[in-house]
Amino acid sequence: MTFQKPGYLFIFLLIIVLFSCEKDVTNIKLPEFIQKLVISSFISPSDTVSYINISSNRRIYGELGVDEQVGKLTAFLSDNTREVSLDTSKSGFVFRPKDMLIEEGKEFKLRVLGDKGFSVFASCIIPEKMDFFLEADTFSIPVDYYWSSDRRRIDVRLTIHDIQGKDNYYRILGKGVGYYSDPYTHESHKGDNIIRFENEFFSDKGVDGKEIIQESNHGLNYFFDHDSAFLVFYLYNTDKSYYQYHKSLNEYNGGDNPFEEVSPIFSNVTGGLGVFAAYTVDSLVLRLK
Amino acid sequence: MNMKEGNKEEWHGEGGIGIISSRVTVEGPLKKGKSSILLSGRRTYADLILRPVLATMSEENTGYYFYDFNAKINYDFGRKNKLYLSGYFGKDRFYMKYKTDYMKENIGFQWGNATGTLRWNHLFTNKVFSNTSVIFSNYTFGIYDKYKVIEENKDYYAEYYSGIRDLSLKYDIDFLPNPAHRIKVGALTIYHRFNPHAYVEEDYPRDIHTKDVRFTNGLESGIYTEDTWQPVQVLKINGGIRLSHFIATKNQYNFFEPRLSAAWRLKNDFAIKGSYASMNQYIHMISNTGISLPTDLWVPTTDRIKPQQSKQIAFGVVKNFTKPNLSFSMEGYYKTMDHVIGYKEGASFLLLDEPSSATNLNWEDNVTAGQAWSYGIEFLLQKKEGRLNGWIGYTLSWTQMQFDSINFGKKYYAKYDRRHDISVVSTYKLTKSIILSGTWVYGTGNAVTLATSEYYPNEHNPEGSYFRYPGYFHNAVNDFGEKNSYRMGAYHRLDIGIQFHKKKKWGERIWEISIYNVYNRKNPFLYHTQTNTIDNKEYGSLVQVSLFPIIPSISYTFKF
Repeated sequence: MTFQKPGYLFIFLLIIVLFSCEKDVTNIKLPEFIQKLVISSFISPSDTVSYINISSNRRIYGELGVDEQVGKLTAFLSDNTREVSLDTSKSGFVFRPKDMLIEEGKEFKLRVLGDKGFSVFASCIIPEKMDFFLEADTFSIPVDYYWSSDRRRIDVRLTIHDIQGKDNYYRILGKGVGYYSDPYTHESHKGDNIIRFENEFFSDKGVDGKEIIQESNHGLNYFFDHDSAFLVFYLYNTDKSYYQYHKSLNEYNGGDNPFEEVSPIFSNVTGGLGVFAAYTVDSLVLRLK
Repeated sequence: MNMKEGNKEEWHGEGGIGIISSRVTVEGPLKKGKSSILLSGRRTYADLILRPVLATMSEENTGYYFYDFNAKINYDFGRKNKLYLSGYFGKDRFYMKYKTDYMKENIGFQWGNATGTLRWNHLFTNKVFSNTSVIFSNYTFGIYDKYKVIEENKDYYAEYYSGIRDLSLKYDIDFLPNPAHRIKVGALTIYHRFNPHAYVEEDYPRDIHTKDVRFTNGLESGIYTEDTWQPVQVLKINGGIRLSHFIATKNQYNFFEPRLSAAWRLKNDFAIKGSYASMNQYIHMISNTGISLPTDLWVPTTDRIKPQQSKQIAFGVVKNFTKPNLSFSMEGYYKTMDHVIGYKEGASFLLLDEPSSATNLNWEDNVTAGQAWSYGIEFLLQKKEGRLNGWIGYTLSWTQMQFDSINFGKKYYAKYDRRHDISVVSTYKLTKSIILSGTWVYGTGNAVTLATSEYYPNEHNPEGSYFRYPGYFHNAVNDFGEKNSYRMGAYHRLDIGIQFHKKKKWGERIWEISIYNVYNRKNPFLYHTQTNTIDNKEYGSLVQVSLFPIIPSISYTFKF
C-alpha cells in the first residue's frame, strides 16, 4: 500500500463514516412484546354506578397496528367477605351498590381473568369520608381582557383543614355555573366554566394537620352578566394509588425529550397496567349572585 | 498525576503528523541547568477534512473533535528549592447537524477542562521535604441546540451548561525518620464555585430571551496524616486518618476518614493485600437513565444535598511467575455508598421546574438521595518485559442503587453497572525497528430504561368531559418495565498499529500505520425509536447512533 495517493484513503474513510452513523438495532435483543390488560377504575361510596375500564397495551417494535384482541374476560370484586362476578359493559365491567356496596374504610379486591391466560389483580381501600371544613374566598380582580364584558375576573382561594395523624391525598376541582335569560327570546340558559387550581393533586406531606391553601388565579370572567351564578368546589380525598397514578400522568415523559428523565406511569395492578383506586368527596357551594 | 518536566540542558522536540490528528512537543532550557520549559499540543481534525464532502452527500452530519494544550515551566533555585508552573487546556466536542430544504438543526455537546498549578518543592533536611501547591481548575459541560426553519425565518437557540471552578491550596510534608517509616502530613483547602446549571434560550419569533445562570459556592478542607510502616521486609502497612470538612451555604459537614491497608509477602513470588477506606465526596455525579443523549453532570453538596459517603473493603493476592515472566493479581472489593443522588422521575435537567408545580424550584428539587452498592472482582495478568509485553485485565462487577422515590422504591442496576469489562493490551517488538501493537476492549452495555410497549391511560374524569382541558388529554404512554432493566449493546473494539523506527542524523523518525476499530464495530452511543411505513404498513424500530467507525490512519513522528 502506498500513501502517495491520499485521495483513495480519503474516499475509503468517507464511505465508512457514511455507513456507520446510524442503523437499526439488530445486535441486541429487543424487548419481547407481552400483552397486558390495562385497568382503570376509580370507585367511591357516592357513585351509583362504578366502571372498570379495560383495554390492552400494544407493540411499538415490529409491525404496528396489529389488532391485539384480549379475548373473553371475566371480572370479580371482593370485599373480603364475599366475591361477586361483574357484568360486562361496553369498555369493560360495571357494578352497582346492589351488586357490591362500596363502604368507607373497607378493602376491595379486583380480579380479572381471560381465556387467553390473562390474570390481573389489584386492591384498594376506600378512604374514610371526613369533614375538611372547606372554606373558599373569592376575589374580584380588575382586568382589561377585551372579551370580558365586566372587566373583572374572580380568583379563588380554597382552604382545607387537614386531619392530623393520617396520610391524606387530595384532588380539587371546581366549576362555576350561571343562569341567564335571553333578552330577545326570553329563553333560560345555563352556562358553566371550569376553575383550575395551581395544584390539582397534592398530599399533606409536610403539612399534616395544618391548613392547606390552594389557589386558582386563572380567573372566572363569565358570570357577571348572569342572573344567578354559583361556584361549586369538589375536594376528593383519595387513596395513595389514585394520587400516584394521576401525579405520574401529569409528570409523564416517555423519553421523547432527551433533556428529561424518563418517568413511568404508576400502576398498582399486579400482572397488568393501570390503576384500581378509590376516593370520597367533600364539596362546597358558593352563591355568587 | 505529574506532568513530565522539560529538559534543562538542551532543546528537544517531538511531533506527529497524521491524517486524523497531529501533535507536537517542544522542551528545552530557559536557563541552562536551572530552568526548563515544555510545551505540547494535540488536535484531531477528521471532522474538518470530511465535512465539505459529507455535506453534499447526506442530510445528517455527525462529527467529533478534540484538542488539548500543555505547558510546564520549572525553576531550580538550588538543592533545597524548586518551583513548578504548569497548565492544561483541553476540549472535546460532539455534534450532529441535520439539514433539509425546510429546516436545519445543529445539536451537540461539549466538555472541557482548564487547569493551572504552581508548586514549590522545599527540602528542609534529607529526611523532611514539603510541597506547597496552588491549583486552579475549571471544568465545563454544555449541550446546545440551534434550530432554524428556513422558509418561516424562525430561529431558535438553546444552550445548557454546567461547570465547576476550583481554587485549591495544598501543603504536604514528607518525613522519613528511619527506613521503616514514611510519614506524610498535609492540609488542603478548596474553594468550589459550582454552576449546577445555566440555561440560555433565544427564540426570535416568540421573543423569548432567557439567561438563567446560577452559582453555588462551597469550601472544602481537610487535614491528614499517614504512615507507611515496614516493620519487617515482607510486611508493609499503611494507616492514616483524614479530617474532612465542608461548608455549604449554612450547613457544615465534618467527617473522620480512617483508612488502613496492608501487603504481606508470604513467599518471594506471592503476596496478599487488604484495605479498608472510609471516604466522603462533596461533588456528586448525576446521570440520566434514558436511551437518548448520555449526560453526566456534576453538582455540589449543599445545605439540602448531603455529601456522598462511601466505605470500601478490598482483598487481593499477587503471584509472580518467572517462566514465563508474568505477574498475576486478583482483587475483590465491596463498597457501600450513602447519599448518592439521582434524578427524580420526570425531572428535567434542562428546564428545572417541576412539571406539577408552578413554584420556582432549583435543581435540588429535581434530585433525590439514596444508596448504592458496588462489588466485584478484578483480575490482571501482566507481562512487563521481553519482546512481547502487555496485559490482560478482566473485571466482574455489580452496581445497584435504591431511592425511595425512584422505581417505586425498588433496587435497580446503575447506568454504568458493567458486568464484564475486559482489556487486552499488547506490543510486540518484531525487529529492532518494527513494533506491532494491539488493544482490544470489551464492556457490558449500559443499563437503561427502554419502552417495551404503549397504551392509552384513563384518568379519573368525575364530571365527564366537562373537566378536561387541552394538554390534559393523554395520548398513548409507554410501558417501561423495570427501571434500567434493558441493556444497550456491548462496547467492544480492536485497535492495531505498526511502527517503523529509524535513527536519523538529527534524531529519530517513526512512521506509524494504525487502524482504530478494525472490525468496524458499531458501538452504541444513543438509541432512539423510529416509525417507518413500508407497503402501507407501519413498523417501529429502535435506531442506534454510533460515533466512530473503522478509522485507518497514518502518521509521521519526529524526535530530536
